[in-house]
Amino acid sequence: MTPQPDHRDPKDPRAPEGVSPGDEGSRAEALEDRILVQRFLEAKEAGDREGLEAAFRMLLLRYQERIHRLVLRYVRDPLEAEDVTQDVFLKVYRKLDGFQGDSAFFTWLYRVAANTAVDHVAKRKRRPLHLSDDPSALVGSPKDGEPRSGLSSETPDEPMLRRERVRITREICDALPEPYKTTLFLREFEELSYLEIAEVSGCSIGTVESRLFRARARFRKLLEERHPELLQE
Amino acid sequence: MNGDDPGGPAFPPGRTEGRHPDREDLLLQRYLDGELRAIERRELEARLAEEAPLRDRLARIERVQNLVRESDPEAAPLGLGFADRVLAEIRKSGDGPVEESPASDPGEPLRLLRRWTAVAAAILLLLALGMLIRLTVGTAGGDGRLEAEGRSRHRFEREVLEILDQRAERLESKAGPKTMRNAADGR
Repeated sequence: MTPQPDHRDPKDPRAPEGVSPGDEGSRAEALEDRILVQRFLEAKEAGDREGLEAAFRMLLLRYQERIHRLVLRYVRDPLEAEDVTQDVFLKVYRKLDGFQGDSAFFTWLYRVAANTAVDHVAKRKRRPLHLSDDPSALVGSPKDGEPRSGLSSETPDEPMLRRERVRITREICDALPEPYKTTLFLREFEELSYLEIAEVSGCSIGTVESRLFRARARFRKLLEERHPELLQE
Repeated sequence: MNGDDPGGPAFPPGRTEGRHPDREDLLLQRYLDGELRAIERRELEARLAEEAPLRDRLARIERVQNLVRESDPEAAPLGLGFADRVLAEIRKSGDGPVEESPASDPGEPLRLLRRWTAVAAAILLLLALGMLIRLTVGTAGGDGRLEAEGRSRHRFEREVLEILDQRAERLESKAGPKTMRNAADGR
């Protein structure tokens, strides 16, 4: 039972006390983002093509891997995720004028990325099944010949069991409805604070707490229905 | 601690989804997510040390948390030149700089280098090919020369032989009647 390290905004009245070293890094990163966004907007205003591209390239290089990984959690297929990531940055390029700077750039970027990925998955569900929808093509999926359901294998092969467990839990994550899925992803995988998730989602911290609780409850319920053995300690 | 549901399980089966989280649920969740203030954390840890049902409740939330985290896909690397492709797409879509200025394109030196490397490689290949052909032809030329030499020697020998034959014929034709005459004369 290890609680996560504190990484809250000290200005937030609900934030915990103390500032971890990670906070300093985050703040420096946020400041650099702000400068780059400022340069981008100034270059655009001045019609400075070189400056515009250079600033945007820097933002791209800083976030491309993180955004690709975030998108991959929704899309599951790396190549498809790359296309969606490209769409995210095209949107960011077009909409950066509208970024108010009230929140951190990365929370705004995450919002664009999460919305784009959710829309993409919703559109894909309406399309007929194609090759990349095959679960066996997904990153980290169990290999051919391995059991694809349940944990009844008699072989006490821990790596294999783990792969199977991962497959099941991914399936359940994918089945979570929005906005619970995104709230859970931002917390568990991106390790964002409640405040940051609230900024990304455009809601209050109380709503984030409630969504997180419901997301975990739904996850547990689906697991109990499909694979209760996984909940046993 | 919630007086109505002391130590009740977090996410109790069958009634989790629509249930409004109580204060205790949120407290435990905030604890695991590192969202408690130091004083709240200390208070909760003191209670956890005392109350086994509360510990069980926390363990249930933590179990779900761990399973979710385990499902995170492994990072897949982006294709090489991803940033270049995005910027090219921006230019193509007309949102960015309309004309691609070589000076303003940070990828241009790299592209030029690649182009010149390709040209240099092609030249080297041609040179190598030329040398190879020359060597092959050179070897073949040596054989050819031998053949040519052989042919011309043969022709020369034939010509010499023809000349010798002609001379012999001429000599025979001169000496022939005389000899015959001599023979006829009884010499």
